[in-house]
Amino acid sequence: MRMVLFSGLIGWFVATAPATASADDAHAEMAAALTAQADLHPAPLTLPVVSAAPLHAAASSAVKRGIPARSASGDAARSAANAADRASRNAQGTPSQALAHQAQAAAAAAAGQAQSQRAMRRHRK
Amino acid sequence: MRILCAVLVALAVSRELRADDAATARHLLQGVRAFKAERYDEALVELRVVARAADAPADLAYYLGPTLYKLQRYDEALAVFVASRAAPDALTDFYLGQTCYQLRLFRKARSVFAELRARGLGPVLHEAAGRYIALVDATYQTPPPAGSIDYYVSEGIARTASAPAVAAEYLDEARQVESLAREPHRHLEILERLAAAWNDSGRPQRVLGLAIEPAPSLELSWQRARAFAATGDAARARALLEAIRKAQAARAAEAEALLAQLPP
Repeated sequence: MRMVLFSGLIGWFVATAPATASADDAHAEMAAALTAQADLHPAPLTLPVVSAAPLHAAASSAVKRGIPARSASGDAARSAANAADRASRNAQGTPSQALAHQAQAAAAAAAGQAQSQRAMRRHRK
Repeated sequence: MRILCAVLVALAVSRELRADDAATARHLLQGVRAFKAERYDEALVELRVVARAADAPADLAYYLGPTLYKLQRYDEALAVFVASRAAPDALTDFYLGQTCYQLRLFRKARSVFAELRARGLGPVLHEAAGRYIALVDATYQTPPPAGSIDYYVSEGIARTASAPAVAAEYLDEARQVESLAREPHRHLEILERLAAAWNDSGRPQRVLGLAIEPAPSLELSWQRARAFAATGDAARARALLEAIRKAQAARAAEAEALLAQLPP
């Protein structure tokens, strides 16, 4: 019995010792790499918003009233929302603030276009 | 002589065990070296091999999560971090915080970084965590709009079937964002969906942690019953399930089925 225990102990020691050492090496090397490659300077953030749901809701009621579902201003508003979304994603995904500003400017331009189209529509009425 | 025999037997047995261990350890080390060299695709291949091995390390998320993060596969990275049962580790959690930030789960990212700073980090990561927190706090100086809550709810719903653990993170974000909003918005719906996602992703304890007793809806009662059943509290599960069955509304059939599975 003692012989079995003894041989089991030796087997366990021989089997686990090198693997443990190797796992420790991997862990230590990974720690150094993780620290070196961490993103220390987060990009500015903007809160994401959903704009598609209200547009869809409006579309169904507009159909009932005989109004074209996707008006020009609706498309412009949608593209403004998409541009804003892209701006937000770019702001986070790239470290370059310049790119984020460019995208945000595009969003603002699209939003402005939507607003002017709505104004023109009101004026025509 | 007998001792010599025992040693020889032990060495023969251990050789077999060592071959498997050595292969896993070699793939792990190759994965780490590839990560170090910023060859993340290669690192992922090696770490996937490790993940499939029977002797994969318990802290695999420490290697796999950051690799997926670097490949910008943020959803998968989050799923790996959330599923990990390894002891908390500062570096793993730092990458979890970064992943949440990229997925725009800003409240979650903030709480991860704040906890890390409280637990203690090296000076460089401590300052970086502070920068993440400052940006989130600046954004939430004004109450969030309803559209933001809608965003997190819709992202959570989109992932409910394919990745319930990730869906739960989005819905939990929705819950936290909603709590900061000027007025309630989809409050009950968020709780119901969140409880379902936590149950579906094997985290019933979190459902029981929600302060919803008595449950304000039948759906929440059902989710609490599921959580009680999953955590072995058959008595409380039975009480809720009986009530749902008697109400003969939605979930009555499911309540019946779950009642039948409960121990007597």
